[in-house]
Amino acid sequence: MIHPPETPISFRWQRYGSDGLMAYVEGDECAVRRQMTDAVQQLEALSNPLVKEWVAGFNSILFLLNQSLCAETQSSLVCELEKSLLADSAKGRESSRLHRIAVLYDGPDLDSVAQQTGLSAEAIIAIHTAPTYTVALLGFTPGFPYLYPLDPRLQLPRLQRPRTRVPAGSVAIGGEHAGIYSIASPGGWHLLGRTSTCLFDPANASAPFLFRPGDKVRFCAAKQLLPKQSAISRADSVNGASA
Amino acid sequence: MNSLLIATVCRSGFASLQDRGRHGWLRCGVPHGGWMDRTAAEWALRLIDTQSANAVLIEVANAGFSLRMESNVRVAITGADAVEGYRAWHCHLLKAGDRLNFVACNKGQWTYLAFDCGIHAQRWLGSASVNPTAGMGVLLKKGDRLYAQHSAVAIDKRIVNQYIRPQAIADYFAASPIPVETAPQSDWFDAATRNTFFASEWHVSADSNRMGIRLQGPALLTPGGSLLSEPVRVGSIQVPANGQPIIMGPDGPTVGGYPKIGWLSPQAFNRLVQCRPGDTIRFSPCNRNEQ
Repeated sequence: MIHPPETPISFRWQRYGSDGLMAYVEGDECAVRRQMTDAVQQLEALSNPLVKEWVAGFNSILFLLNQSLCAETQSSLVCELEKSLLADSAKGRESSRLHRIAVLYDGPDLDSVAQQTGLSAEAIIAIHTAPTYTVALLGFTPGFPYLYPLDPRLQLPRLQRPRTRVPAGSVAIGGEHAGIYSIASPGGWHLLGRTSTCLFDPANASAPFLFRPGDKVRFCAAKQLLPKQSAISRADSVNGASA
Repeated sequence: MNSLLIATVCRSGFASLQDRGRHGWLRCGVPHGGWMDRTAAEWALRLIDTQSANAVLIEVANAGFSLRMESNVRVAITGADAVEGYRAWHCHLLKAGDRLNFVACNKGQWTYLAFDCGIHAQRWLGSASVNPTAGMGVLLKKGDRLYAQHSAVAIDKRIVNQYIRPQAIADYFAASPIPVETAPQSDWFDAATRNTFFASEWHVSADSNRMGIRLQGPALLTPGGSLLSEPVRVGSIQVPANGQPIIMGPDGPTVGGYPKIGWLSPQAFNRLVQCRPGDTIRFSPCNRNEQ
């Protein structure tokens, strides 16, 4: 299979505590984004006895280890991890999961976003539903996805006065990212609508989260919301990606 | 049916059930949670001789909290010496009707109560550690009733009076500076700012909590250069734009975009969390991590 030529990236490794290693992915923005997406999918299958767990940022991955590292273990571990981060990345891209999220676009900030962007509500919905987004990372609250790429026309600074409570399922935009509030929490993003899809179900021991880093997401406008669904039932119905 | 162990009589402090925390979920945005002061919590478990890997303790900060025993039970108290009439770092035999009242104390911020019969608790992602901001459980409140995890253990008279030798905990509230290791952006801070950080006295702010310990002192100059949100470990010393450091706690966010001037090892972090609002602390550079 032939893949388009990819711009080079490199890894920069840094100690973060005696039992922590941070990898920074460096290169141009698109290449870093793509490498990060590939990397987090590779890491889902990582089984290195030294690595207790890992967590991704936008251009970085932290590895927490089972033991303190000496210089030699560090260099051999770095070598192995780089190998797994780079292994067969195209394969990961093809096997990523696609989630379709039905959204009722009745958010309280739809009008103000229309005002600030000069777009109609219909145009905002069309722009928001157009891309296939990638889950760059989960953070802020458990299961909250930072989705990219958000169309530049919808990129706005966060609210000057964050809300003290944003309901779970609120579909929102903030800065360069789109997102969905996974639990009720304070929040400063612009609320475009809501979904009945459950992103985080702490009582579900086997599949508490809908998303994993690297997953693909598409929004579609709905006229009404379906009754609440639990994360696990939808995770089963996830299709192969077409991104 | 588990037997009734405790009724919460009064709450004005900050009390919750905590265990070792939930691990393996950082990449889904779930902080580890668990005991603020792991050292104190593990001493409590050793005192009551608990082997259980998922033992649940009551963690209490601040005066005003009060518990009434509903059964006879052996309890180990560690951390802040804040329980009226019962010494910390000791085991005590309590009878039904006895009350544990938390009062103001001079040393320490967090107290741990471990019971020989355990505490029955709901679990989220494998852990009973309560984290209200992450949608997992709520703080203990007046009227709550806690149940034993297993039937009461036959009390062995020889171990009722177990305690931890003061020598073993002496270093814990030492006045010596808290050692700071390097973190990914330590070298973003210029020499003058690092000197200010290590030469200054810092006060623990009253708005510190399980998410983060806030410090007050001279405003540190935050380095230029923008940082994309990246993973943050417990114990990381972040410096936001106002120059007042925040040390990330077990319930803090898993990613953050503030530069980090340093990192506290778990041992150093335990010392920090036992500092009370207004307490003065100093830091010293620890270079063993530098390559």
